[in-house]
Amino acid sequence: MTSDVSNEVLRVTAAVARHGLDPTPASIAEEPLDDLVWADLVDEVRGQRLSGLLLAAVADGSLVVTDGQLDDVLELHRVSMALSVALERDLLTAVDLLERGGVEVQVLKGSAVAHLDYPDPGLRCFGDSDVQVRAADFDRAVEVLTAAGYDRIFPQPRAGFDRRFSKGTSFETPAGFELDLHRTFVLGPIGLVIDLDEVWSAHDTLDLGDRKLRTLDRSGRFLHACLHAYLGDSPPRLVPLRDAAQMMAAPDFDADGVRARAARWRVEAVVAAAVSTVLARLGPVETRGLDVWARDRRPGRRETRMLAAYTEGHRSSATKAAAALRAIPGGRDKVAYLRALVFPDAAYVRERHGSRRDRFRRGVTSVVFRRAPIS
Amino acid sequence: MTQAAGQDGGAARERRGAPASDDTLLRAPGVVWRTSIDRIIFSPAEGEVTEIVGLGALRLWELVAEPARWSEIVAALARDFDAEAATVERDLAPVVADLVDRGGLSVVAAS
Repeated sequence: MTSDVSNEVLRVTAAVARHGLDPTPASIAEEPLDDLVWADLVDEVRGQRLSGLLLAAVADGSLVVTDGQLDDVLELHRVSMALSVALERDLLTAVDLLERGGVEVQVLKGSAVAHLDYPDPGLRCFGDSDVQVRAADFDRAVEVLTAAGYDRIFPQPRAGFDRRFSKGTSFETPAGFELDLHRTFVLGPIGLVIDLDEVWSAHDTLDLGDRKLRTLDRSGRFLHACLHAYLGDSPPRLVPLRDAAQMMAAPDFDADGVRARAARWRVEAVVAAAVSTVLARLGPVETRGLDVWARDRRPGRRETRMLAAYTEGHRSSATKAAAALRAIPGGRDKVAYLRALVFPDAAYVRERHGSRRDRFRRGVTSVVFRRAPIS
Repeated sequence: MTQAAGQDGGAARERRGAPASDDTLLRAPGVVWRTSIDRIIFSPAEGEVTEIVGLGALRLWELVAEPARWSEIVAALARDFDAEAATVERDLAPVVADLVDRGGLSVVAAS
């Protein structure tokens, strides 16, 4: 992409990502985009999973397109919707399996947000399924899914590691889709300090097919969207930013409740940063006062240190692992965590890294390097 | 015809052929779906993801958000598309049959 094309694609993509948040739709393009810009826009929209909002922008005339471009939009959305329903069927199968195996499940992200936070689930596209189980059930959940033919994409470093320390793990389902099994919401120190009992303390119900599925309540979904938006990818993906904006726009959004919940989850710094990022990337949106709170809030030293593991330098998993070590309470758990990372099981090393020696070198270097300037 | 659970939980007759005037149409239990401009895309409780294309099919799908009588559906579509009821009925019957065959829709015969 040339920089002119690139800038135009980024502008239009961001405008598509905020489409529908204004009382009257804002114009995105009054003339059809030229073919070069259009082709890159289609790629970007596909990659960002924004085809539902793109279709809405075209349908209400905010984005004027040629007949050929309209065909592209319709096809993009058709494929995305076919994927959404296939994923929801896959999700229902996984939830059934887990529940029959005695594991309580709650649905996260895609399907839950699409149905509960958007006026039409077709506006919110997704590419995998996410479920959360309680930490105590994690090993059982893995056992149930594995027995049913789900293929774990990466093994854990050592037995019991995921149940105690990890964000979760991912599976390729028998139907060929990705299922993310969560214990917590993010890898690294912030994932470890979130009070998971508190996470399971409030919920909503998602009606899907003929099932009623448990999911986070709106405050929980908002906090998760913020975590996903700010800590997930660099630069942040537009869909979780839009999710956060979509939820803040809801008349019953409880900003005070969200702030209180963020404090109990110990993620205030991330939520404040995510709200600021929503405004920076999507432009002015309704925040119910969270923008002022985010602007005025000063993170503590510990929060700053934890955030740095996600935002500074190369955001590698080794950096997060080193920061996570500090977040783990108790000497025995710290030792178990470090041991699992430095001396993982052979199967884990084969799957993820070159050799035990390389892993040891990377792990030790990372821990030593990160500890030195802080202590 | 096969047996299916009725709305009240009792046994009702599920119709496979063209609906009769007093038959009730409803989305099949367990179906998950989306719409996209001119089509319904759905995954039945058992079977493949299917697309049914057409504005008539799409409007039908909206009308069976709650169980609805065939005669009411035909009348609504005739109004929407400014067409004769007989024409709507003739054109829509194959769409209904397709939706039923593919597991997206149930037709419960009036007792």
